[in-house]
Amino acid sequence: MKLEGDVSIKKVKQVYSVLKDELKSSKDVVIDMSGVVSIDAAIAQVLLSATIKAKEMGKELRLDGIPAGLNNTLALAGLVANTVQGGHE
Amino acid sequence: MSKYIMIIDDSPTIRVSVEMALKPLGIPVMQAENGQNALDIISQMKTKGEEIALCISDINMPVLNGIEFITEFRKNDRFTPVVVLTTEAEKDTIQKGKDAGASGWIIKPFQAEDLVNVVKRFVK
Amino acid sequence: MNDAALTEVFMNESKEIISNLESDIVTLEENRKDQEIINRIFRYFHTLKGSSGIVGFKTVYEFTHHLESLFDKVRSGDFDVDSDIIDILLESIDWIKSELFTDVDSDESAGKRHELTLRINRYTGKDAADSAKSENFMSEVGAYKGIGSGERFFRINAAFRDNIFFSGIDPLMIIEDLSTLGDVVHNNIQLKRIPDFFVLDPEQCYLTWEIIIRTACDEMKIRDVFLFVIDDNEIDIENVTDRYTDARQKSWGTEKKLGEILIEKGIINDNDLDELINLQGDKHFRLGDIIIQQGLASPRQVDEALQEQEKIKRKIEISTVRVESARLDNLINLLGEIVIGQASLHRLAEGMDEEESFVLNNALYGLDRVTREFQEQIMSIRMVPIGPTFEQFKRFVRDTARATNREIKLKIEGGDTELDKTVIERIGDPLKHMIRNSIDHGIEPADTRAAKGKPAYGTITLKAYHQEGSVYIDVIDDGSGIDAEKVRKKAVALGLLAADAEVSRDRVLSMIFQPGFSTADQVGDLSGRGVGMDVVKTNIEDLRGSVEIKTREGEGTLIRVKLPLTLAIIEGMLVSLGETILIVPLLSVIETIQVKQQDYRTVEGRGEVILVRGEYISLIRLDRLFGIEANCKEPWEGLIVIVESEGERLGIMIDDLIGQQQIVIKSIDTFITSSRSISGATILGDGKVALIIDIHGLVQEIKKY
Repeated sequence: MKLEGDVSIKKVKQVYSVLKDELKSSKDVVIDMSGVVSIDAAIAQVLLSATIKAKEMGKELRLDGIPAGLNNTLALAGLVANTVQGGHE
Repeated sequence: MSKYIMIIDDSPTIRVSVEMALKPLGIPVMQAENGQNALDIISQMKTKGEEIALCISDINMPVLNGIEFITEFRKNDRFTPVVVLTTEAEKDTIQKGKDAGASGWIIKPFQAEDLVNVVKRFVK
Repeated sequence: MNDAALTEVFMNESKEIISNLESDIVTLEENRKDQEIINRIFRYFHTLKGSSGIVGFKTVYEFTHHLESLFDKVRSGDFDVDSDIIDILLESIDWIKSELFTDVDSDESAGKRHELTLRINRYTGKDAADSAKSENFMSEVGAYKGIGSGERFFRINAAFRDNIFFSGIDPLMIIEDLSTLGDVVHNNIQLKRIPDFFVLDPEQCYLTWEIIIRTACDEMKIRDVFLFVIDDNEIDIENVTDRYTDARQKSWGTEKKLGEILIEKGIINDNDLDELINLQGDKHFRLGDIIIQQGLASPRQVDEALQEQEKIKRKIEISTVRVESARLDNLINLLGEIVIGQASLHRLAEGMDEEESFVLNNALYGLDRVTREFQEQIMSIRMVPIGPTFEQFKRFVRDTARATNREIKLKIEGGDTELDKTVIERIGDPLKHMIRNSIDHGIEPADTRAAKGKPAYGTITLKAYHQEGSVYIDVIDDGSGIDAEKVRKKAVALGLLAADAEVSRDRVLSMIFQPGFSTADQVGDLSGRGVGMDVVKTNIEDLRGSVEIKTREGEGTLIRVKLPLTLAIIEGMLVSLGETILIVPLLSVIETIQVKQQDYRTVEGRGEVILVRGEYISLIRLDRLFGIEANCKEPWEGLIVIVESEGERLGIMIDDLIGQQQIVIKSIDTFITSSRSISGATILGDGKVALIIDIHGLVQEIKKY
């Protein structure tokens, strides 16, 4: 599936329902993020929950083509590996 | 889809100063004189497929005041942020605004920088 | 827009608010319990306070704050409006006016403000300390920046309430905001709070963050990020600097780190970085942006920058536009050029044979229609209602009535009647003078009125209406009227009228418009002062209007002002005298005739006259008046245009009639002529300049001889 533009709470129900179908029907879910301008907490939380679910189901959910400008946001939302230095106590 | 910030205030001085302050953000600003005027403009914009990214609304206005505006606005739009413009003296209206569905507030008088900082918390 | 432009917006806004306030306060005095007006007055002070605060008029901001508090109390019924409050209000408005619009003596102004503040505080019950507190409020604003020195570590636990999305708040954006204050050294989202994917409600929030940030900011600044959510979400902020300082010795800002990463990646070198940091100077620019500007970034980053630009390019679209009236005037001037071009096309068409000109004439017919509509549209933009002008007299009438111990009500009718903006701007003074005259010379003191069986309070009515393409403004009072005999005696005494002159009552009454005329036995405190009704008349005539007076002794007086709808365009009649083309305003033209030689004669005391249907009409020779060459030397050789002004008819000798057309008057305000007989000029289709005859001025000019 592909997300585009400003993806926010206003579209979260659609994103959620497509993602539900994808997760049920496909093996691995690849989300094309290349056209995404911004995401908000509601979207992040759906993606986060889907990632956990996919893992549980033995599938993989992958975010593809993440624009550089989105890296920090996704990191703060726990959706990409923590790029921050320092780290845990 | 174009995005706009809407400033709703019966004072042209406030409206213009908000527009001036937000110019560096590059997001176009629409002006409305009161809550009713804002609702009218918003419904017009909808037919053109234009989107409001943020409303900045005064509380004390003729025709339809800020609280009434937010209540009406929220009936059709549950998620767009609304920031109320208020004064030190009427801080109690902040809670009323929140109850109606407001997202934040700005205390008048404000510096351009304060306003930009608040707007940046709601608009990417 | 700059600060000066904002100040101008503010000045205009305050003028409007003050004018509304004055009108409302006077109404409030009559209806002291009118909640609607009380609310409105509160809101005006509230708005004025907000605006003046923004623009930085500190004294006005502080002062209107007191007035706002006062009216907040009135609004909630803490006390009733009494005459003292009305006085305070009006004096306060005077203070605001002088503070904003005049060069004030700051000591005197501060003294007055202090006095008024004390009087207000007597009602609001504020003590000096309270006032001082509110007065200091401005200086606190914006003082706090929150950047401390040294490096700190904060641990933030933020659990957001489940319905937060419905407040338009995006917690992720708050976290992003937080991340810009320093380096996020630890970030953990509590996954256990998030429900199973297949049963979650995507519009509910289940997010809880635990973040540790290294920053130069103090705790206040961190708290500030959570300002809008700290009250109704679980937000814990803890300073954990002690636990972290050992681990980190070096302090570095985000920007520097970004630069260093880029150096590590080999995109830029040390020298580049130094230069970039120099360029950065102003903190508003992010280092990343500058890197792109410097052409040091990858194409991908340039792509992003372009996307950003795309957002900015969106143009502002507003439902209403404010334009300077000068631009509107320009538009009218341009329209004038179009009309002139059209006229020259018409002339071209006239020179062709019928078959050839048919097509052109047809096209021109359509163009004429559009131009006329265009003109009407532009004119309608210039039209503004007279209501606000009328309203502003409420205060004036009240003050003047008080000063002269009279009770007077001002009645306003037809406030929505629209007039050209220029006319509105220039009609205020003459109207004020007429009203002043009505109060000073017309309305009797209450006891006199009672003795006459009239209501104790006098009424002045301002009434505006449209009629036959003109606007009429009536100033009516129910005072004592004007004693025509007294006027006559005075006119004779002043040498304006011969003692035995047989003149109509109207003519006698029109004497009060003569310079130096005043019927009051002693010069009144209000009128007089060297400004008389003659100035009123001149002002109105300058607007191409006229004024007449009707009065009934003991019952009252009506002064009727007739004004043109617009000043910029007139219907004109083009006439020729030799090589010269002149324009006679069509409004003044009665008819154009040819006279027979036997109907022409010279009458003792009147000079040359012609007999038209039994009436002698004075003849005007423009060639002599303007010193130009005419072809027809005798009245019966050419044509006579009969014009009328102030009930007087004149016959103007012309060689020929060229036609009628709309005339756009060039630079109506700046056109200066030595003769009152010329009101302006226009450019004709063939590029020639034609002078416009001012019939009014012409009549005056003739009377001098």
